[in-house]
Amino acid sequence: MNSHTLELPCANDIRTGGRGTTWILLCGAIVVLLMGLVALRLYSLNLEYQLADIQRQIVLREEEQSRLEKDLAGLLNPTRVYSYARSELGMKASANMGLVKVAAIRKDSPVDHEENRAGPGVIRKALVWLADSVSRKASARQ
Amino acid sequence: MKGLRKSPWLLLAAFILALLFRLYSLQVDPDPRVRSQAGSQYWARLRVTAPRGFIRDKNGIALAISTPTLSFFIDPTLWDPGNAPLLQDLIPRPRLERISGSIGGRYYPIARKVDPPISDRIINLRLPGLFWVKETKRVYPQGNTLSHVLGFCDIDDRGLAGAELFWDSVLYAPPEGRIIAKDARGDFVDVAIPGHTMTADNDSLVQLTIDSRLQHILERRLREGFLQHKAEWAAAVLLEPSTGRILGMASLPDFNPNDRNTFADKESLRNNALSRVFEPGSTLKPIIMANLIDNGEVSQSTTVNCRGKIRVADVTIHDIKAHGLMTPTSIISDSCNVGMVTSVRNSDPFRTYSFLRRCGFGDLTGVEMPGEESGLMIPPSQWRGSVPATISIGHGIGVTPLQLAVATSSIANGGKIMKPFIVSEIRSRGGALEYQGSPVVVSELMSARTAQWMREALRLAVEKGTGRSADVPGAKVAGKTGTAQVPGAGGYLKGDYTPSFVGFWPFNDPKFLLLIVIGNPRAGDFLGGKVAAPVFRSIVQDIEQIS
Repeated sequence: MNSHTLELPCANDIRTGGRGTTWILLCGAIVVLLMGLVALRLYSLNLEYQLADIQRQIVLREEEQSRLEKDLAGLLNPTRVYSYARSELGMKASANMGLVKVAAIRKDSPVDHEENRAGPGVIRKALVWLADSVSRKASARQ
Repeated sequence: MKGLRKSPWLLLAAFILALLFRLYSLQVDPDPRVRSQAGSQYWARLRVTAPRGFIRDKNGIALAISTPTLSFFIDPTLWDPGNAPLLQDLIPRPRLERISGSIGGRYYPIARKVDPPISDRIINLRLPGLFWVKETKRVYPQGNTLSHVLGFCDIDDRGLAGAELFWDSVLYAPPEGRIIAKDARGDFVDVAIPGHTMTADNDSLVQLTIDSRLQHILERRLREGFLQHKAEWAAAVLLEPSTGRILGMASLPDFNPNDRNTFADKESLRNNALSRVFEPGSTLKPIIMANLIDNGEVSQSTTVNCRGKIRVADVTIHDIKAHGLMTPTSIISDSCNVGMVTSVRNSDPFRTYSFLRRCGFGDLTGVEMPGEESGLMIPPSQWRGSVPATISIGHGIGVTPLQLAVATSSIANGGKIMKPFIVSEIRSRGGALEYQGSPVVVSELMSARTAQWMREALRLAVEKGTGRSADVPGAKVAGKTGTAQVPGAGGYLKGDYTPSFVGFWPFNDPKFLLLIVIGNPRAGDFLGGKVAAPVFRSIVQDIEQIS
């Protein structure tokens, strides 16, 4: 018995066409993937550049800080302060200087302390107000 | 399959695969020739100094700091010797002469660690073949102040003396690699080797117990005395007697660690407070007498008749005058030699030797500084003839100023020998605490009662005795003068003396102990009361004004 397989016309073409689409999609995906990788690489390069720039700035700031610290230490040098006070400001130690040792002050109770503080505080506020009113610098003071 | 073989997409896929492979091979594993060509754009790979850590005083003021600086070099293949005269007066002369002719190689350093404005002037010349790289330079912002304690470094920033040497393992940072490369504009830039950070900061720290203000007072007043008396050397030690904390340490002559020309005189590099061994003279008497009283060999009511001189074995020991009847208190306050010699006449040499060793004499104190001397102590088996007598008046024994200050502290603090320390804390890179200086009791030297009695005797020495010129009204100073002869080959040197004064204040609860030693004054005066005591007084006055 002869049997004939029924073949649809262009069945092979249809299969080829399906594989082609798959390949196109695959290649497209690879290209997109590669482009993504390239984009990522470019992005990371940009970040690296920014990082290097920030690091360079950190180093510059640290160098600046070192210089400032050196200048500060030079300014705080007691020898410099002493010679400046003597030569530039004309300051001198008094010839008849004496030492007066003051005994330790008795610790007041909290109530006394509050009372003591309240009195001068009011006077001080009044004096400040008066001074501000006269000089009209209240806003500047604040 | 047949269809697939015919498909053009297979070719495309193969092409992409080949492309990927080629990309991989170029990027990840390039040809050695490509590597070589890429590398040729780099000019040089150098090792440059990294910053050292900080040295600060107790208030945090920087005493030693590393600051950025520039080092210059040339590439002889790009360098035109005709440009050399432009660098005249900007770089060392031998280097200038060298680069005026032809040189081989591709790297020749011409000036290291150049500061502005010289470095700016060299850069502004923009000479072809001249390059520079960043380095750090050790700077001491306070100049001569505390120079012996701080020490100094070599050109590569390795510590050579003082705290810089002693704590080099903490302060030193190994050199960093630098690649000199061309940037997009064609300029040469220095960058760190990949994997290494470019650091301009090193936060390791050596914090001293020294107070810069007290140190300044100490140095200024000591220098005044040193110059006034035309002395050969001088030393001062300021201690907190209750803890052993060193608040100030001065030595003259000194040097400026920023200026290597001042290193030429070797005497100026010596820290006299640690490395100078001298005979203390009468400043040792209070310690010896305290021992005699503590042992019961002498009581506070014992009396000795001073006739002005006494014969011991083959020598005669003199006094300034015949003091007459003396008690232990008056022996100390009037610094009576005869009284001291008579008092120790029956002492056991081995016992006295053991006591002096417990005082710390003949041993290193263990302070965190290099170059300390242990002093000279004759073993008791050799204490024959006049030796015990001369030791009782501070001769025949060699001590350092620091040892004497520590031993006298025991009188001030109630009888304890404290280990002196000059470092408050050490922090390594990153801030971890490596070491912390703290009070350590080395030995109990005398009873608190004896120490109390001796403090009163020393107060009397300043009020009415030989130390009157050290008295400061209101400060309640107690102390002792010393005037020692200087031993030389074949005996004591004629005309050479070491006047000194050691004292503390306030005498009933001492906060400070100060020792002043002036070596070989040549201006006429040589007595401790005339030379060292006035320096002591001026320092106390200044310290009392700020403390």
